[in-house]
Amino acid sequence: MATAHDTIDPLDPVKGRAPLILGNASFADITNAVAAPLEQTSYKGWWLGFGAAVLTLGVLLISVGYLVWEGTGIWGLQNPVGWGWAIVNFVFWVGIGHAGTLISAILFLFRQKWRTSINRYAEAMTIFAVICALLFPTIHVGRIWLLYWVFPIPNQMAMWPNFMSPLLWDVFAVSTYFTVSLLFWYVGLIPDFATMRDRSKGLRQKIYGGFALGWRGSMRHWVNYEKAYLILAALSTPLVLSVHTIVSFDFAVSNLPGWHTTIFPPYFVAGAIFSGFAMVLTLAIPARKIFHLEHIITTKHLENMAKIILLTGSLVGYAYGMEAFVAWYSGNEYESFTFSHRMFGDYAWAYWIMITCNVVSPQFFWFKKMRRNVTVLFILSIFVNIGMWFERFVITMSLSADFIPSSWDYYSPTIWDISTFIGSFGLFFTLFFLFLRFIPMVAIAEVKTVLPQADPHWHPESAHGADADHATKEAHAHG
Amino acid sequence: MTMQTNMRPQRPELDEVASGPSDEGQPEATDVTMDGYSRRTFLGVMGASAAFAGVGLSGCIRKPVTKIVPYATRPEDVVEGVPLHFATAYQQGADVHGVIVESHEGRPTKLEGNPAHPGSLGATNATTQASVLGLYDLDRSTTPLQKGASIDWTAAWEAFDKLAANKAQGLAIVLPAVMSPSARRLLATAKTTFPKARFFLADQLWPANAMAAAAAVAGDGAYALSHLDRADVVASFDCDFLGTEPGNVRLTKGFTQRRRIAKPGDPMSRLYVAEPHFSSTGAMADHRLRIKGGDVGKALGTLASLLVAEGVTLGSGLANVLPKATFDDKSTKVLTALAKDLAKNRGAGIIVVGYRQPAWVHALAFALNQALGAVSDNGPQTWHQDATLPVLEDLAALSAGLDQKAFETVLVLDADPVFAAAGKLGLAQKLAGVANLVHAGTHADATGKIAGLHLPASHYLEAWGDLLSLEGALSIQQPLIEPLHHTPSPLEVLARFVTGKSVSGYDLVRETWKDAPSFSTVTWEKWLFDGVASVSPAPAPASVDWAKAEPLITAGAAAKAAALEIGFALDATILDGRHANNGWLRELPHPMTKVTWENTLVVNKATANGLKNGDLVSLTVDGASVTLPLYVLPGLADGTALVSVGHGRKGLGRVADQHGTDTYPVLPVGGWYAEGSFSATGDHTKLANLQPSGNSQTPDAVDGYGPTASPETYFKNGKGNNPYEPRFLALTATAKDYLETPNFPDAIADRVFDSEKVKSWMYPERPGEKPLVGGATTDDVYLNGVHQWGMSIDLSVCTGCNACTVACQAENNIPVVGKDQVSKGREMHWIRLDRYFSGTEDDVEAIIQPLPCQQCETAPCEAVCPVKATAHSNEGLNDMAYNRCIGTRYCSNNCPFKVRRYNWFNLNLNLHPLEQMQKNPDVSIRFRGVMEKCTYCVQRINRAKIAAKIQGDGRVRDGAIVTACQQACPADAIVFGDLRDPESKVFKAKSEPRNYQLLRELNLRARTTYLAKIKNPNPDLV
Repeated sequence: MATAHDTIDPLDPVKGRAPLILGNASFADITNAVAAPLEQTSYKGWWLGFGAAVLTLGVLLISVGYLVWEGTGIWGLQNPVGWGWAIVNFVFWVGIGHAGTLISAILFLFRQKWRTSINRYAEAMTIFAVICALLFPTIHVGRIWLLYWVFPIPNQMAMWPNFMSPLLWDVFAVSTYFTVSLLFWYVGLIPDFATMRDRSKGLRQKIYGGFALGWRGSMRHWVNYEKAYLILAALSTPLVLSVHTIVSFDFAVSNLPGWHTTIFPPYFVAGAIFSGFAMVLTLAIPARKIFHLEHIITTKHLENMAKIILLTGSLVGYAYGMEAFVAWYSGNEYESFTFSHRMFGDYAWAYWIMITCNVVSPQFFWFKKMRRNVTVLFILSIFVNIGMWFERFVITMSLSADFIPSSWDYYSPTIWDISTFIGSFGLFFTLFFLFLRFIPMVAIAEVKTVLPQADPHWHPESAHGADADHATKEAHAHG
Repeated sequence: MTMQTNMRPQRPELDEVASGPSDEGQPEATDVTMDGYSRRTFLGVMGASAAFAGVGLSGCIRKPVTKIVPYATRPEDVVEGVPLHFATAYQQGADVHGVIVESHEGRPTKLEGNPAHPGSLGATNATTQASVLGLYDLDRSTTPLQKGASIDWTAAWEAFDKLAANKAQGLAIVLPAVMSPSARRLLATAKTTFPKARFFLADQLWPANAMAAAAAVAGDGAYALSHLDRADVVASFDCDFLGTEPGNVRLTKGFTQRRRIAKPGDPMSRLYVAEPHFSSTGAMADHRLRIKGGDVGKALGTLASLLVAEGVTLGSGLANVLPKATFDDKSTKVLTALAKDLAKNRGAGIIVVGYRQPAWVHALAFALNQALGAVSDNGPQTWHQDATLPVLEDLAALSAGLDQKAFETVLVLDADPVFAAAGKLGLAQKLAGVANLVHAGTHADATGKIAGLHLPASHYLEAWGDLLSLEGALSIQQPLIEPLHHTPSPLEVLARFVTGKSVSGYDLVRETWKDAPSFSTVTWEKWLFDGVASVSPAPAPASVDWAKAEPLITAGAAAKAAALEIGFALDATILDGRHANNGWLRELPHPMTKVTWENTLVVNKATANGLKNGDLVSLTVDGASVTLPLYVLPGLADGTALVSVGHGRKGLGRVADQHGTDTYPVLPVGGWYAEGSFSATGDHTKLANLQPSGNSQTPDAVDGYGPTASPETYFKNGKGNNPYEPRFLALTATAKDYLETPNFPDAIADRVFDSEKVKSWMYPERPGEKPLVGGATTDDVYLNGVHQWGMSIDLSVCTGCNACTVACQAENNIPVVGKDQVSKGREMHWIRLDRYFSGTEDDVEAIIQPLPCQQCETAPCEAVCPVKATAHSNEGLNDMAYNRCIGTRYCSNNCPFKVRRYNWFNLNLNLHPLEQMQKNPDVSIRFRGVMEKCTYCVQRINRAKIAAKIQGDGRVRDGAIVTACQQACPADAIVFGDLRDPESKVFKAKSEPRNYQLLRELNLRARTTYLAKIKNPNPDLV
């Protein structure tokens, strides 16, 4: 790879940039590498991971089943703290579900070609995280069997939901986001499903074929595909911003000190991107290793994500500081008490965990060495995940001490709060393992577009490396 | 039964509502009711559809099949859905409360005070209010027991009659305070039929020390009554007359009459309190002294000396025997000022002494009151002598008698001496050794369990009886319902034992009164109807000999206070344990500690010596020990501990069995204070505290509890000079400050929040908005109802007695959740009493603030509900549609007052039919996952509106709606009514300058507003 850097000619549109995919991979190499995990004959490792995930999913099912049977009282919620871990987890998962669409849509619109290696992965993570997120507001209501009342279903009693309620906005925002993200993901998957169809036999071929919707790779297909993809990207882009803005409204629109803050929408969006990228790192680092995709998901990809984490982490840190400053500067005694209580009160431990993980730990990414050190990246990404969970916890716990001191109380979770949260990881990883096993985890068609061979200016002779000829043949074969 | 036909309903106007107006071509009330039923049927069908819809989602929610059996012929007076009201009376200890019982289709559901009765004056306390739940107690004894085995009634009566037949036997009759003339008549008969019979009092509520002191100077049957409505200066010596003291309802009524002022400068009385523990009365005090229980008498002696120095003449040389002690500067100053105040206000000042103080202190106080001219027909203290008041021996005498094997038969009626007596008396072992122990009571309690024969007895709401209160009011008790378990009343049991015949309670009472001069069939009906037959206070004693107080005082004054004094007390909610199985009362907080479900050893920080709330301690008194949790409360005297009796009554029932510690084993004999010690066991328990933190209005105060929220704090120190400003919650001011700055709440609010400035740009006026009164608005596009409901709560008079909370619980079917849930912060009370401290650990003040739903006009809860389950009525009510609620709890999060209550579980699952009988049919039972809260008793509002529509122009007159909390409040702190009616009480209250809204700066426009607490400190001490 050192050779690639040596021969960079900044004026050459083909050679002028460091290649995004390393190892002079040919089109076939890409297809083979990505399809390999789906076509393996031995799945020992996969079964192990999948089994663990399903067991954890079982914990979730038991927890939710008991919850529905007994009532929300099985959680640690109480009078001042009407929202606890369920809402914390909801915001946590929604936040994680941000990176995927951001990578797919916004980076796509900005022509950030490096995204192609990780977008499938990140989008899958988004979908699964949003599924986990949707679970929590669903189960946290007291009468889950009446949840459909939040939808504006015409009825003879002319009873409508309350369009003033941020919870209702949430219903629309998150479900829209989920729908568009799913479509976006699926549209991107169609060419790859076709590839898999072509590589498999029997029932497998029929199923992949069904999902491929008759994709044959014709020019007309590609034209429609590109248009659809572009439209969906344009649709998703504002959604990335709106979803977490609206989630933040759940807090910001209320009148509670510590919640009622105008800084929340940008702060929440930044936090969501922050946690989303951290989660992509957490998942991608082991996966690229296990499935030997280091040449596709390169250190450069990881480094780019680390930069975004550094940026959004700093934004979040700025928001923490600004919140505290405004609380003091406003002279509002409730607000300032809430913040001093956050920092030095009952939940000070959570606050300082949050600050350490979210503000302090990303500072390591100022150093290139750290950004390119996979181990450091992995550890810090987990720190950020923890910190972002605690951020939502700290915010939610503003409930514990609000206006009237007499009602203040300390909230602590029960075993069921914890098991539901752990169980949600079971749901996430079950879906994720299924994804790894049955869906190409890297967008094959898209990655090929960033190969040097895909460039119209590419000539076999300009290629360096041993198998340039081979690559040329491949390029011609695929048109 | 004759019962139904003999009962007389109260409030005939309701009958008229039901049947009368149909002549005038107006809709019949029955139509209204029928309409209601058809609507309910409709809702039932809707509910079923919803349930079916839910099946697919949730699994099975199976509704049990129930059948409704309609009346074949309608009983007289009964209109389904329209409750009837009957008057009766309730006794606990020396207190008799006249009550009016609401009865729904024959089920008594709710008690209200009878305004005609001088013991209740239209109000109740928490215990009386909760006594209706005792009727439906699932653990009541239902069958007679012979040596613990169930037997049938025939066999039981046979055994009983056999015992009663032996007239020559040594007999002990043990019973609570005898306030029933019929029982007195029977006891007099027993004296002659059983020559060897002796009578014992087993009633910890009986003010034995005060009675003994009165008897010593004026003879048997003498007693003194205090009338605080006639007092300008009240000096309380360890007397919690706003709490558990006998006569607390009457005394609260009287005291608060003189504390309620309509405008600045109105006269009000002044209260001095000297007490070892921090009581509700102490929280109301203008000046409060922390003095050990054992030193209270000496403080009174010191006061007496100071009064003598002021020229007050004490009777019969008492001035020479006065005990003295030296107190710290503050106490001396206050006692001196008090002496001056009393001397200045002769005839209008009174000294009251609590039941826990020994007889000599009472005697001294009586003598002082006499010397101060307080005793007169219209003075603050009156003396009475009731010759019919039976002289009963105490339990120590019973114990001694048992030692001497003086009794072959012990008949215990409606009492539990095995539990509720000092452990040192050893009554459990001694009574177990009696040949024939007969017990009659509602429960097979500790005495019932060891009794050879236990007879289940009726609850007072099932029984005929009569009660003569100390105030001289005679009430006939009438049953509200056929005895649920076919039991005889204690009176009937006594009569059968004494006369050997089975006579119904009705006949027993008629027998007592048939020869009364005013008796006739007509007057009898009227007695039952009114609930009070006559009020004639007993005459003053023929002579009072103060010289007889001298030896008492001399002997008593010699006693010294203990180094570590353990002060026992009746429990604030379950008294001596008689309500131990009453969930409503168990879940009520202690007014100062706010701990529910159990008793604690309450000490101040210095005495706690580093121990924390909930640390278990082993309390040792005179060799006996019990283990209970510790609670650290400010404001107690150093070296004294408070512990209540009555808890830990194991074996009584499912509620009584839970939590709490029986402290009777360490209770000293014949007194309430003892030397003792405590040590940590190392264990810890989580207390179910309704106010676990946030005890101060200045939460960021680092030292102590911060200053009071008063004009003094906000103005005199100047902003910025006072680093910790209290929150604008429970405001207080001295009478002088109020006179100088009448609108101080507004002034403070403007200062704290700059609210006018904020309002002008942040809260634009709504279309058509007109300011109304007390911050409410009306005539805007939303609030266009004929009535605009509002409530005013006067902090000047609220004593924190909890009566409102229980009344609300009874009226609104609020479930009891248990200690575990309360300790998680899931209590369901719709109205809570916030208690805030100010000052330092030692020099502490407390203020109590009742907090129901504030019914904000711009309610934050309404905006955030995704399904509009909570919405505003055009009359200003923040309504809650339980059926629509899906339980997101967002409303509760957004409620700045946190008054919303959530059903975390299905708290009404599998209600026993008996429990169902108590429920108010006008209020729906809430399912799990549903939010609930105070509705201003919307069912009462609607009932009054319907009545107003049927009867007149549809306008509800002021006073026609009384909310449950308002009705129960003995301090009349709560006023409810129509803000559109400028003549209404609530309008007038809200027009007072001290009216203010909580959290005004949030622009909530709360319909519940507060009147700031006005205190009246002695100018000499300021």
